[in-house]
Amino acid sequence: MKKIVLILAACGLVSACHHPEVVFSDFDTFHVLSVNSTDVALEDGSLNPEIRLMEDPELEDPETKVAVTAVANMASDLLGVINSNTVIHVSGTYTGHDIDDSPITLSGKLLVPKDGPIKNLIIVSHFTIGANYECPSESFPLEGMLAAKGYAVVVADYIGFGVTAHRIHPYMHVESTARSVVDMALAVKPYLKHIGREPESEKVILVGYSQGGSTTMAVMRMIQREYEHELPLQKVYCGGGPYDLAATFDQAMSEGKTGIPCAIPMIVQGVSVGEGLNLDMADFFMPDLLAHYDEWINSKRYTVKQINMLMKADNLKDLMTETGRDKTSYETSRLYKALMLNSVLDFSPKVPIFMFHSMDDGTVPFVNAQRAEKKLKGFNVDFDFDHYGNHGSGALKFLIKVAKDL
Amino acid sequence: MKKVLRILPLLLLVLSCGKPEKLPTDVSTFTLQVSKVTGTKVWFNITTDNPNAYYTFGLVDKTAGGYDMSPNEMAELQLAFMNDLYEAFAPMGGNIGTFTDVYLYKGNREFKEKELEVNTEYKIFLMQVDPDTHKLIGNAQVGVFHTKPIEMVDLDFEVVFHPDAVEVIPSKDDLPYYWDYEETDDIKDKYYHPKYFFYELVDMYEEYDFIQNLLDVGPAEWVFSRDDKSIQEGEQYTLVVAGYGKGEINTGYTIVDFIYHKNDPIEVLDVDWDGI
Repeated sequence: MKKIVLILAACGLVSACHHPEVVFSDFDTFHVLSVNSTDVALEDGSLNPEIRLMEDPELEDPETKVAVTAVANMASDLLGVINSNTVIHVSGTYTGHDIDDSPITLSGKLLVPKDGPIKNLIIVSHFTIGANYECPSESFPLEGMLAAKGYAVVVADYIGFGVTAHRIHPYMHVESTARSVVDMALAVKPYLKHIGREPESEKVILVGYSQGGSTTMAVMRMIQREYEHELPLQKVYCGGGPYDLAATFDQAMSEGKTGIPCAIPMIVQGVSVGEGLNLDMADFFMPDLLAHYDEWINSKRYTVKQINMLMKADNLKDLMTETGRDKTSYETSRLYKALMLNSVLDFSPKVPIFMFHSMDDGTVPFVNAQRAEKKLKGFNVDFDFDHYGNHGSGALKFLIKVAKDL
Repeated sequence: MKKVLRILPLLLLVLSCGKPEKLPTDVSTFTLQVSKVTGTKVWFNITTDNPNAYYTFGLVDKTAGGYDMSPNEMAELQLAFMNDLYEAFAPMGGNIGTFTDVYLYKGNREFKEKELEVNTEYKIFLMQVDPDTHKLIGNAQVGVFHTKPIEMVDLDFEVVFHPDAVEVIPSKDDLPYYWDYEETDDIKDKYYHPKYFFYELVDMYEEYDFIQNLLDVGPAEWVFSRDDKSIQEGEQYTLVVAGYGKGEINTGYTIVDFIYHKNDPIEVLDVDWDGI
């Protein structure tokens, strides 16, 4: 009888120790819109098609399919040891800063492994998207796979996506974009504690590729400047980033074309909005682009690849007016000055950086990495520059390297 | 005969493999070429036949001690100085990279050095360095250049504030100048003195071949709320203005500190930057 009592007591103890079901409820800093559960790898080991991959503007459709297959094959490589194949992803809103610093409700996604402890908070800045259904809060972002390795991953929708999809996205206006990313991390941190999934380490990790690469550098600068105690940094991973927009502009003008045509209307409009320049798009865009850019870009119905196809040109003479291509013209000089000032390389990094760039990148030219190397000389930066294929291939190789280093 | 047949494919194999890749420590050939010199800046290119070789360089002006040392003596002195400096600062943290990260380069590159003495002869010492021992490999090379004199111009400036606006009035209407302002705290934090902020800003615009677009000639007017969306009510700013010509700042600096108000008169402050 005594034995049975002992066993019963032990059972009771075990039952009491069982990890309670996590309730992803509203919290005062983070309001839940939806909660989903996704298996990263399917039973046959292939990548779950729910995970939104990066479109490669340099690839035609059949090649993209090959790339997608390659990603699926690389999924296990990317993840290495999976802590939890099932990832819970929570879309939610938080109060952030608008371009003019006034309060604004923004959205984004938090991803956590279903089971097990959480090592760190990873703050991801996402790459360029065009359609709203691609934004983090509406999809399973590629970088969210890192949650399966035992991390809490937070990915903000930039202004102009998610619950602010009706707004113009201040594309490449690094201050406001980085601010949204930091604001969401600050909102999610107490939320994680509230739901009992606080990371074991208070140190945060930054990750971003392409637009997300330069945004990540801007986030790092902002955290070092304003939030060193709230978001202490551990390491920063950035790849394929347009860190130096003015140099990118110069290179595109000297070559007369661009690997990502949709970036032209996005940048001109985005920087104008972000910097309050009130530029007249008629000074920059050729008639066809001028007539359609609002529908193509601001409707948020089309992906980057679709916008590029709609634009039907990569030659700058077919897309931009002579005034727009001339940085010495009054109109373009205002834009160019803003591009120079939106460089994200003018600070001293206080934690190690892993910086990746493919020398074959035709979308974000390699000159950006060269500028970064020059500016960051002497700091603890691991520059990984090599022939890693085009921009999309580079994204995958970058993420594999990040996953292996984590 | 059989033996010859066996040797021939081997020979072909060796020949087809070409030259083995050079090691970082193989004595390598470097070329140093000065491409442009102004009053305070120099641009030069370093090219090498060994993409794996590490190298560094140092600049010494004619007034410095040891200017006439042999290239190898000067190189060894410079490397010893770099080592000492690195040993002193690396333990202090601050996210400093390795000695190689901080001082050494690989491959063909263009360099620019600034803040040089005006109208002064300089030597560039180029040295191949062993990345492990930090010692000189082979012989150091020397390039000589002379910075140009700066032709200072007789130009000064009056800065007049109105509510929500500023006017910069030069004493002559035919000479180019540049002016800008920044939050005073940022200048203190990043540059220590407004003249360094101004020099760096001008240098950045030169780097993008853009400075000519930003120069003013004659009076300039600026309406803050129209022309600068980021200006903050009640914030202190420092305005700097100076003449610019032939790639150099060619007047003294006029520095004015102010607190911005959109609807009230802008407060002009009396700040002694040289006394800070």
